[in-house]
Amino acid sequence: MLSGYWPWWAGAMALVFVSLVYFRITGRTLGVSGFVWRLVRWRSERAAERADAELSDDEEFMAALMAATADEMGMPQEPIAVPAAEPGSVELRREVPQRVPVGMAFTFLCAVALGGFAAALSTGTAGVHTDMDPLFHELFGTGWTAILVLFGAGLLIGLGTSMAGGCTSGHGLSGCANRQPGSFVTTASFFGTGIVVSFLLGSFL
Amino acid sequence: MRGGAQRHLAVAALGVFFGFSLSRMGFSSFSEVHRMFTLVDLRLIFTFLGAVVVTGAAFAVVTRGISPVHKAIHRGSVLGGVLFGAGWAISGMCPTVVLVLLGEGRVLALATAAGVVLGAVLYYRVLAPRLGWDADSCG
Repeated sequence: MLSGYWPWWAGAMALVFVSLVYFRITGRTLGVSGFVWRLVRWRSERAAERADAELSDDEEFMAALMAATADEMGMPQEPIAVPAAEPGSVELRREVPQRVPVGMAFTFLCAVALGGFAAALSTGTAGVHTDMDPLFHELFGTGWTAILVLFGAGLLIGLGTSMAGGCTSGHGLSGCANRQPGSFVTTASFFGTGIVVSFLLGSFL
Repeated sequence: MRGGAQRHLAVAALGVFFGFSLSRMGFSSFSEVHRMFTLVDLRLIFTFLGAVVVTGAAFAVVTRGISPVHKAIHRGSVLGGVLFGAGWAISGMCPTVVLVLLGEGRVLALATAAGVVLGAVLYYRVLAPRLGWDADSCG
């Protein structure tokens, strides 16, 4: 069981679980590519978070969470009543959606890597590998050629996901699940291109 | 959003499960991704479709009775998707998988990781200011 890959329904359920639990914990839909740039800008992200730190009590947190939820779901945002400065009074505010704190984003990304390590442990393949999948090397060679190809592909991924505002998780899974038109378009674009390029690559085998 | 050790821990645990699952379903394998994209093996496509449909149903229940406001299609939606798709087919990786592979010990994934970071920097620091597009990132 551990040596073979999961059947489609097991993988699907795992992704559903991750999507829903992530939403439950953070109030945001899952999207990984956005974290990359935010982590590059760690210092200014942290500064902005400290400036926002006046949201302190539960009512304001719930208001912000509801607003963030509404924003993520593409729902119209009603003004939300939050405690005002004067005790006992409320004011109506349209809260700016609260992103996942950048520290939490960093934790999540590290955890994903750790998960990969756990998976490798479970299949007895843990350890340092200086090679990639055999098929990759068959297509692109080894040594510096392979490294350059991987770097170049990374450039395309970084550029593309930034330009599109999301990746497989952000657009493909979350965006499509929320029936966002932009996500359908982007998902079709990257899947379609993945198919075309892969067929092209396959013709060289 | 508030931090809180509990929330942080929960996110960490979920991340580990996410990375583990992606690896065990074969999403971090170049061969498996290639087989998906060349339509030789539809397993991963059904995995993805199944996830979207069920997650979609769950989100629909959560937002029941509320009419959605659709987010506009980005100016970068198609070209960005094309660039990303090309990079994904060539490397076999999407952004999350880069991390999964690093966890699996594939040190060459560091080259892709460096490219991803540089690509993002290139977009936000160089391209976006010149293009004036609305870059609404996720996360």
